[in-house]
Amino acid sequence: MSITDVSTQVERKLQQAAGAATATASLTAVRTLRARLARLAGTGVLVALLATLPFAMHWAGPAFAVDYGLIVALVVLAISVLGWIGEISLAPVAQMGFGVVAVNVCQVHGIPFAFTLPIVVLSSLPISLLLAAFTLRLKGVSFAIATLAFAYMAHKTFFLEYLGTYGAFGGSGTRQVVRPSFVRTDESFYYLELAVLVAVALLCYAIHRSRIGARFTALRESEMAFATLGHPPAAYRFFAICLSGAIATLAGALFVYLQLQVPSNLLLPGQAVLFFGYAVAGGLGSIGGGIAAGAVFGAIPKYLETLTKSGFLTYDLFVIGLVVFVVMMKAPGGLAEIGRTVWRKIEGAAP
Amino acid sequence: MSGNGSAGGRPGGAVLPNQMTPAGRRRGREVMAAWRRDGTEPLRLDAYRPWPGAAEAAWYRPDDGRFTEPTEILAVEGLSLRFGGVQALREVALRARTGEVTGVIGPNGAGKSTLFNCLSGLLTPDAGRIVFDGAPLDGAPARRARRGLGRTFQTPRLFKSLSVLDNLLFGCETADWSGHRYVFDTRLGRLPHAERAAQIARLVGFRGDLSAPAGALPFGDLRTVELARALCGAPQLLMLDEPASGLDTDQAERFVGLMSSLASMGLAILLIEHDMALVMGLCRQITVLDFGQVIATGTPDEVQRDEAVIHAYLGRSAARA
Amino acid sequence: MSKLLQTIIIGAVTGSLYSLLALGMVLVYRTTGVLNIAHGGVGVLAGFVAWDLVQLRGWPYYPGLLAGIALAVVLGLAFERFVVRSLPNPGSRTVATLGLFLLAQGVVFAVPWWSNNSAQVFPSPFTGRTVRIPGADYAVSYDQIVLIVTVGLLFAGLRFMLRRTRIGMAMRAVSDDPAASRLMGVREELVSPVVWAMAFAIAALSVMLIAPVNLLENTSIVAFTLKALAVTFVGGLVSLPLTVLGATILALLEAFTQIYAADVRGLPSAWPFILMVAVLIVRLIRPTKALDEQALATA
Repeated sequence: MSITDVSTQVERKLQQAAGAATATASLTAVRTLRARLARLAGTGVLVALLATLPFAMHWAGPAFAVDYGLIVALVVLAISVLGWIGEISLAPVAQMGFGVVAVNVCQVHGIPFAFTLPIVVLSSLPISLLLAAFTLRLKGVSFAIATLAFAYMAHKTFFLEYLGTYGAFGGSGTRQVVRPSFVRTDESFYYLELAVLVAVALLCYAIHRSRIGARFTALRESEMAFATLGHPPAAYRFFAICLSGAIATLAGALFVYLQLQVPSNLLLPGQAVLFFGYAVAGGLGSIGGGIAAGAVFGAIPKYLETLTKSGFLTYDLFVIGLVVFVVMMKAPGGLAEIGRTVWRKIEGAAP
Repeated sequence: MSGNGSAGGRPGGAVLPNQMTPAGRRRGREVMAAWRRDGTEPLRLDAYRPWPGAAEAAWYRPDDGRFTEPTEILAVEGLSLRFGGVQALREVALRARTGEVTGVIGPNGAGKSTLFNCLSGLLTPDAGRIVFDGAPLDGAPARRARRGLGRTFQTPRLFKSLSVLDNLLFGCETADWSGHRYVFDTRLGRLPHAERAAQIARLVGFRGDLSAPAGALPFGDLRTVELARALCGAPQLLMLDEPASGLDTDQAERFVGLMSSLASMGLAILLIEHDMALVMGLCRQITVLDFGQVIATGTPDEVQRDEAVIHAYLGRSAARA
Repeated sequence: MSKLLQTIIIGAVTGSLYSLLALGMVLVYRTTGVLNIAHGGVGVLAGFVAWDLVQLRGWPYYPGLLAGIALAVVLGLAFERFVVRSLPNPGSRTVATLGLFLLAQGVVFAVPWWSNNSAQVFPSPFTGRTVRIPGADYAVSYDQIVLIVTVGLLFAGLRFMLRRTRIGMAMRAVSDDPAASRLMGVREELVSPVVWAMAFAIAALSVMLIAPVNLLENTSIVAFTLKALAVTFVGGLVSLPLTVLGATILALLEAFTQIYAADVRGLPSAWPFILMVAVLIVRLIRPTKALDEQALATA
């Protein structure tokens, strides 16, 4: 007997016992009870999973994989956030690179770790300003191409010079980044990343649920009506670009702490296209979907690499392309849409 | 078609709240006769009843804040715009006053919506001057809206994923920025946003669920909600682009009555419409555009008699007749 | 003198290369509103299949070429039939082309005997034959001439097709207003496959023509696609002549800086983006606001 059978039986009994009105009320009560139980159970499972993930997945591979997955989750979130204004950005990988540079500058000047991350976020603002100067007045495909141009310019003119063609930080590897002592191991670093990710996700969620989130939706639906109601579209687009930039730059900072050395070819704009594919799979504009897609597509290939002894590497593009296809055809809202449908079934709510 | 003459019993059947003069009615019958001769559909010179729910709205006091003097709120001079190789607007001049409904009519493609877009700030004219409420009207659309310019669009542009209430709340926020009072009821400004929105929704006759997503509304309700949203913004000048198209007779009647009442309380309304009876009956001043140029300006009477207008609408033969 | 001539010729050839790829993308965007990210990817796949048949299995050249193009056509038709039709708007279709790109790249990387670590030589029947320029000691190869001539023909052909032929009109009608064009008797399900098949065939042909000149290598051809994207941007994604002009200018700039200013680090590779920035600046200066386009659409 499944949960569904039990609850339907209960409903039927209640319906027989009392009148129709009472039964409806009880039905709703049962459903809410079931929903509440489901939510409680789900949160419990999620928290347990997140708390023990690097250790739980030890059989599949090193903790590095899930660490990398969380960073990709942050970058995909940055791309997803721009979906709030209905735009696609391919600049997040370049913005990651600026995060790398910011961390390096901080370490060279001996700034303690506690201040490094806030400084990294602040340093993203001038870059976002520059990007906005390129892109604020553009829409759709032009916007995406302009962000791509920005990313390429950043790569060719800045990163290659700064990071050197083959190495990181001057090409000799001597200026390696040092992790603070409390996160020396990959496992402990995971918890730092998790804290950052949760904080960023909560911030995005708060923005999305507020009046500002409604304004983003309105801007996306009809910019003309939005403007003629007294709201300046440019200001909101700028805010979205800055938020996205801050998240991507933060991801870059965490990336360099993870890798300790970032060769410039990891910051190629082509990577942004791949990450965009993940964002689509997660559902553009969705916070949870973006994070989930990023974590899964970031971590699983790394795990598969270890499990198949690097055999997966040759097939990763193929698989990801296939996934993007399937998502576009079956569930255009991505993982977010799939998640919502599945969750509603679990909660027993009306379809 | 409610040609049942139950329009307050006046001779001729046409009863409109304010401005239909006997000479105007005569001219309307002549135009109708000419059209019938050419085999076209006769105009609907219907009886538009005043807004039925007026007496029932407990908070509505028609004498509250009734203004006395019409003042000029919009002056457009020499507005010209060229795009795509076409001179869309050519030296257009227009005046709108508080307490009046000013009509902008013309054949399709005459540039009426283009004119509205220039006023809203969505298009930048090549030349011309616009003065609104005593100061030049320039800047981004957002800035113009915050000065008290409200508008609706030819195709309703609601925020479909948001609820009706959310849409209306946007309008209320605009009212906060403009700082203007609601000319049709000053007490509205003191209500919290959600209540304000609910009251105005009832005013325009929206009977649906405020929490429903706007995308789920039937077409007639889309226009109504868009009108309500514009009204929530406490506009000083309300620009309506074909608000009555797609409305059934009942809704059109209500709409005319409502506009007339709002105008009589001091709201300036600029109206683009194709329904001639509605325009002739409702507007005190009419500007006629054709190919981007103003070909006539005046009272409905004068405009209906104007040769250039008849030529533009009905062809040369009718003008000579 | 000879150096100058050489530079100009290199610029012309590279410009033709970019034009070939860019024109295919402009064709698709103009007629469907979709940015075809898979253009270069499918072309490379077709190129490798042809190379496999001709170089590894000993097929004669032209059947191999045709096989590659046929594969691209089949892919285009399948993509249109199963993917494009089921998706509602150009945005999701663009994302689908991304998926197709990843798939194509995935296949190219996964086939072990295509060994993508090194560039593959894929000569055409014309390879080796050259034409001497009188008065200079530089020779132009037949392959390069074929490339330039093909671009000219393609440009003229596309222009003629889009403007003068019924099928071209049908394509433009369907892209402007699918519902209205259906009412006029133009069926989207007949026009759309033609567009996609044609676009991918052009992609395959482009790679076949590039291969003798530039070696068949996945990374460089995909990089060309990116430059072609920058070039389409110059043409506003819709203008055929501006695209070819942009491609030529970009190639000439790259060639000149590569040969005459080789010591300025990074300059030759920065040109695509300098060009895009220039286009953006021009757009910013011209007083067309972003909202204007929407407003114009409803005026």
